[in-house]
Amino acid sequence: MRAFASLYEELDTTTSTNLKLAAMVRYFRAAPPADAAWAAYILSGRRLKRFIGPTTLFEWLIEASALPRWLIEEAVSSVGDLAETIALLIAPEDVASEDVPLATWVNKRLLTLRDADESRQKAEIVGWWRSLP
Amino acid sequence: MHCACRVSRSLNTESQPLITVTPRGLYCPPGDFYIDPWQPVQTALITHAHGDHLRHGSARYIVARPGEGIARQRLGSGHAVMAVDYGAALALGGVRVSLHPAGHILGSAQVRIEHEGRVWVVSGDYKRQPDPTCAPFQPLECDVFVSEATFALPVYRWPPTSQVIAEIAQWWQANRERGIASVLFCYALGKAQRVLAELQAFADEPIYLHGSVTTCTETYRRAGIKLRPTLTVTSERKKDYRGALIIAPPGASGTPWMRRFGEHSSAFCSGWMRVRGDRRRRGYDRGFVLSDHADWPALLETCRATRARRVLLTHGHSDALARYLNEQGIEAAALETAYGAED
Repeated sequence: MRAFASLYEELDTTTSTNLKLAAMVRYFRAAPPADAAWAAYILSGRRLKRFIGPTTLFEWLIEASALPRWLIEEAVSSVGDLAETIALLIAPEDVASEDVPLATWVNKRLLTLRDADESRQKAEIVGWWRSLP
Repeated sequence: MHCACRVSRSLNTESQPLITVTPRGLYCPPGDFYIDPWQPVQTALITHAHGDHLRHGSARYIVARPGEGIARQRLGSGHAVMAVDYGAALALGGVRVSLHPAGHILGSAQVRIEHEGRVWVVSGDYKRQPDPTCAPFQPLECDVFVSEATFALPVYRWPPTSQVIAEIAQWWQANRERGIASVLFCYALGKAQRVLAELQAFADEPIYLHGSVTTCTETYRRAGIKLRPTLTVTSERKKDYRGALIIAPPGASGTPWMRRFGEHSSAFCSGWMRVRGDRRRRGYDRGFVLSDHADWPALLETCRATRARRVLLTHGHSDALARYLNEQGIEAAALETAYGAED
């Protein structure tokens, strides 16, 4: 997923359409077909059907960050985005060294969580918060 | 807001607070002086020379010696400026006052006030990260600590300066390879010079400055601070800025002054760049998280290091930090002040 993450960062750190286009061309030329398909799916704004809601993520964040609920509410309202607040509050402790392909992330990691019980969902997701750079 | 009410009551019951908030600014009744007043007063102690802390019109200004040149430059002629060494005691009214390094910009100071066995310290703006252009913050034990709280939310944690400077150098290099200019927006006083000092480790070609940045940079050089060689962006010559790094104040962004650079990449150096939305709203390509203020962990650590019985907070997210400190067993409250949130 690193290649996709750096593509996303490149797209996010320029306001130039030419540069964005060049970054996408570079990515799609090199990406394996299954990864490229998921990348196109995500970049075109499509989403997987949600199976863990923001309220649940918020509760997990309170536990994982060991900060009071009201302070996290203030942080979310100041940042304006729950996912970004999570990334800013949970510093990765032990960054995973393996680079799992994007398609494997979606098919084998995210989608298999759909039918898992909540304790497994929580363990996996909070674990990723702590290990993704 | 429950915390603010609770502490303002205890403020009122204290025999004589050493600092109160008045319409003119933070005032020390037994010493009869103001700290960074926002209206003209007789005696103004100045924590640092940024515009929201150093304002015109007061009869007498007292500043830390390393900041004398900047204060004189910002005030212009016709103002009485008195410089005192860090740590030197001054008798004002009935109190003993001294200035101590705050690590914010060159000459920035905390104000320590001692009266009848009690000590209050006003931090001014401060940071705890190393900065080659100014003396490091010095924690002072006190009874009451008046601290800034600009970035008092736990999302504000600063990456190491060396990492941010390396990111800036890489961004400049990548733009140079594309044949375009790099325009780095920084506050003209303090941040710009810190970046110039830190960038000395990378190549030694001159960096171009907006005129307002040059003025402050020359004052730093006169104070003996070693900075990278610089040139000022001028209007006379038809200059080719492709591949160059230009440092400009944020106010220059989007003005006709920018046209001379042609296609360029823009970036802003500020603690606010920690949050993506703040960067995107301002329309910069890149945001570099480099702040001259304390981040959340540094604010907490500093409030504890002063061993203060009570902490009073100014700027930014004062209420959040006050509430958090109260929950941690440190009595704290927010003070209403007129300071800005620039970084």
